[in-house]
Amino acid sequence: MIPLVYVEESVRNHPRTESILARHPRASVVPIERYGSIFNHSQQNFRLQKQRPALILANKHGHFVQPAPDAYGVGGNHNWYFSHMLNCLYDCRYCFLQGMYRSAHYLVFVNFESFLDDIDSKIETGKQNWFFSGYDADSLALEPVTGFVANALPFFATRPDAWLELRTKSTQVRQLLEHDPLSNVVTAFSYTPEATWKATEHKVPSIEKRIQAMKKLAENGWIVALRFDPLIEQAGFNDAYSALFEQIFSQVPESMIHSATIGPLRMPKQFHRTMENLYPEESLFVSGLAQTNSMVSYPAEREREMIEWATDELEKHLPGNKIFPNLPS
Amino acid sequence: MIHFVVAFDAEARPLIDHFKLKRQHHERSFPVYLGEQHALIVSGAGKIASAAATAHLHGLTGFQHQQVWINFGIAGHPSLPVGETRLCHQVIDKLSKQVFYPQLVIKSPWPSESLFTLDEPDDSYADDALLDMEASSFFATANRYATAELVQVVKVVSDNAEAPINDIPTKQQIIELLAPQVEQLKHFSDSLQQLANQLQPDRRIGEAAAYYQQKFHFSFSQSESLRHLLQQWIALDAAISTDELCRFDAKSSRQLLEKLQQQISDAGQPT
Repeated sequence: MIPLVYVEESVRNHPRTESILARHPRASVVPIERYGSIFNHSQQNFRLQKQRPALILANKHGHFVQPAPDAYGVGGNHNWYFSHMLNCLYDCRYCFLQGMYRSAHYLVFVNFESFLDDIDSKIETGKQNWFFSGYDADSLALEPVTGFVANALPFFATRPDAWLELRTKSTQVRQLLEHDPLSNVVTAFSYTPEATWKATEHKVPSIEKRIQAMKKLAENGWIVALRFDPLIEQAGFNDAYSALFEQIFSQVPESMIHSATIGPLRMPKQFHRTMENLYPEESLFVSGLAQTNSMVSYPAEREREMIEWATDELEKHLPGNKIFPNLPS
Repeated sequence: MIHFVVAFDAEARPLIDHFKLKRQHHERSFPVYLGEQHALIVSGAGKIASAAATAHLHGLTGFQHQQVWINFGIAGHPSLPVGETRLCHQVIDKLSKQVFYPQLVIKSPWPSESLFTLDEPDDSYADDALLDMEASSFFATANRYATAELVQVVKVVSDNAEAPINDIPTKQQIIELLAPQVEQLKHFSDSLQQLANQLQPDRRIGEAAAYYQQKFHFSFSQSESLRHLLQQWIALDAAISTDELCRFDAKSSRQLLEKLQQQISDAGQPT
């Protein structure tokens, strides 16, 4: 339950604000001038806020759609990302958001139309234009609150050159299942092996539940995808990832899987330090990581070994042209 | 340590009784009461007094950071019945227009409400919010010492448009208004203390650092590195004892840090 909703005065009468507030009748509503007075304000603590986050409803002004980082592509011509929401329902200890923001509150920009208009302006006809939505938040976990997907599907249904990636660790696929499948909307599920899920992905549904959600989508004609990004070091790394791949591919038909990406655990030095300060008892931030220039990651040789091994292992289940290893240069 | 800042003696009394706090008679600037886990200061009315008292108590309890701070007392409200209690989710300084946001991250026994801090009493009750004369400066000061999740304002309605401020409650009336809330305030402040505990450094770091600092000279940055490396070692071996952390011998602080770094590198490899 969301106990508190901060609402920017400029969106107080927005129909989406009213519908979100109507779904949270017991929450205290606090009017604010700008979301910056709450979100990322100094003298707040991400770790403590994460224990009971509030919701912030705000208006985003500009910079709706941005070029995606180079490593983000899955074979398209143009790659963009957008963040109609910041922060996540889940509490993954390796997540860079906890190093990036001081606030753990869920920030939702209710002017979805502005995002969709900007997406529209970026589409190059005849090309594959990708729009990634899960960069600063889980794309589906808060769908019952935001209703973003319900708004986006009719938009993408009429724009075949625009591809939407919904990246998630959730099982919130009802909104998709209620809609006819779209060939240009891909729901990408992120996974780590069982031991890492248990140790670091707090509040994330079990691997099996996510596979079931994925399977249900595939059975209903929706394209799905796999994201092993980041790969997390653990004892028995190879066996753990082999078992995970087997668990997934034994249940989800390869034909419905658009792609699999594999990426390293990397973060700016300052993010790492912030995360370590927040959770000093967390061994993940110490185990096997090394600092190179301004980045913290596994040592380059080990990073390459992990990614190459995972790529080879995935090729046992997926054709090579569906696998996108992100090996930093 | 849980710090209470109140404006009046009558607001302090239920807390003094409940937590069995002892008056610190040598304290001349403000009435101060201390217990094992609680500290209380009586600021007097107004923003300046509240800020000064908050800063004074911070010094008196050892300039510790990330401790719990609570401003407890009476407040006006246009419509809420006398005796209703509210936790404040927004504190607005009426004069400066500065707005503060205590962060509410634990379940509260009371609903939450906005509060205006005024410079002078006002019986017009024009704003639909709580009214007091201290909270904004209390919050602004305490939030320098503790994160906004640990700084809270709890107010009990003492007057409203039907029973306005010119009928000033007596000391006994204030005690009777606040005393019924103290048990819940105790549970609330204990929960805040549990949050604060999550931010305190592991005791073993301080003990081991002190041991090594007796043996070697450390520059400021070396001391920071020492504590950081000890913290990392504990992260990799949660059950490690202070004795074990102190087991390294070295010729200098620099060599010690190198040995600790090596230990952590070795221990951090997956097995």
